[in-house]
Amino acid sequence: MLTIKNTSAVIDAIELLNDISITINPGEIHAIIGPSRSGKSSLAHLIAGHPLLIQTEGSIIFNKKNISKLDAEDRASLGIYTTFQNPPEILGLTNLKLVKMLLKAKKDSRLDQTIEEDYSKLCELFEMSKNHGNTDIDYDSMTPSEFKKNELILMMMLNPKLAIIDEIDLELDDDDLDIVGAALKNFVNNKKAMLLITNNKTLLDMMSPTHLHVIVKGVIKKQDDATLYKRIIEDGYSQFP
Amino acid sequence: MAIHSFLKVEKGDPDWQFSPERYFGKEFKLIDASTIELAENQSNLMVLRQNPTEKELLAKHLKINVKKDSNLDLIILNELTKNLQQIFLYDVYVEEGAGLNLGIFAKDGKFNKHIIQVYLENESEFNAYGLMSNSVGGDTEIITKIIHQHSDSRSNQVILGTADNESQTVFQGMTVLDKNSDGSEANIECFNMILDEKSRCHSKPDIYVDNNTVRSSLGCTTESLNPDKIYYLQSKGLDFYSAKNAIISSFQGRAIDIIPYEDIKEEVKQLFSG
Repeated sequence: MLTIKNTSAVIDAIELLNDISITINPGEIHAIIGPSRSGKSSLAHLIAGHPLLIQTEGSIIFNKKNISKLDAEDRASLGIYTTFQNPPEILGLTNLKLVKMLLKAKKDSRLDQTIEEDYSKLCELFEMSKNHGNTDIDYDSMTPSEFKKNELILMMMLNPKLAIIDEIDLELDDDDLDIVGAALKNFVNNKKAMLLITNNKTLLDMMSPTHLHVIVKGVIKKQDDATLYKRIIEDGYSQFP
Repeated sequence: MAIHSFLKVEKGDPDWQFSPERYFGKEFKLIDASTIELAENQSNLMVLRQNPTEKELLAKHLKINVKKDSNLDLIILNELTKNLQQIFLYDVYVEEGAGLNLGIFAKDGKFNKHIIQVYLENESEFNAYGLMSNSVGGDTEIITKIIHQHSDSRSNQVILGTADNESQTVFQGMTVLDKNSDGSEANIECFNMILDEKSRCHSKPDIYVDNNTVRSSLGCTTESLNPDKIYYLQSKGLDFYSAKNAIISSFQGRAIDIIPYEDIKEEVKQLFSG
């Protein structure tokens, strides 16, 4: 599904990622762990198509198409979805309005009423308030954990093929983490895949990743045993020079 | 920026009769002076379209008198072309127990200035909400002065501004809670969005308080069109222009959505779209 081959990237001429290679197939959950500022989120946004992240070498192939030069919206339309660590507020825009706008852009054929019903079910699943759809996307109206869960509600409404989940656990309490973990686990099937960026052992336990990659200073150290995350996180990253 | 001296509001004050030549120069001619008066115990909606004229320089004066226990919804729509310089002055008098909800939506013009001075009697209420934008390299301004000289009156202002293409917007909101304004309340909020590097949005919300029994609040935010927000929406599937429009129209919607009438709301959306 996704093949990143010998890819490097810079932002403002500062190298953030160096010679990255990952292959993700349908049905797989790839966990990315690593210390802060090691390039985990940069990798997520390199795949998503951040305009300031310049790919200097290598290729990114998604479903047999080279997406290296595509804009973010084109990558999204191919089925790549990235959650943001800190989603921005968009003053005056409600959650449901945004969903409808995105589905319209995606040429989703669902009627408004069906969209609202589907959305309402997801709000229930994520234990959001009944009025969540009419809530403005701003920090006065939503808590940080609601912002995080909202990222996943959007994801499930858009139904992408590849989900890139960037430190979704930050800002979540234990109850929310259970809800999020269960929803993420249900999301992956034999046609979908996930790149899960986290250092949270509870979430990794819930997700049982099929592959593990450690990223340190912008370089990936692939691990043969995906269950090693517990020991690596406990021992720290100094073992990866 | 000083509050203009003509913004003294007293019924019967000699400055009640607006003289644009005196304050803005002799090239500004008063071409229209009219009055809206709502009789006692009435409720009404009025839409005032301040349409552009061929005259490049003009001033219009409007007296608005909402009589005792009446309620007026007045919505002002105004769009000027880039060569027009026009000033609109509104003298508002809200009598005891009456209310005025004023929506003001002003777009473009080389110089497009709306000056609103309001005098509130006992237990009266004035709510102003609106949006000013300029994207033709000019200056759009909303200037208010609200005087609470009697008890238990309320004023509330929510004004938004957007500036693009080296343009400017100005909101200058002055509210006076005088010594006789026991139990009154005044709030001012303004929000601005600057859409390019060379545009400017100025805001000066002021509340002067001379009474210990009143309540007041004011706040103002100015933000630029944030490329991170555009990227966020692009990464969810919107193209660049749709993402940009979604951010701007959602911001503007905070004022437009206050309009209580769907058909007028739609007209205002059309006015500011694109």
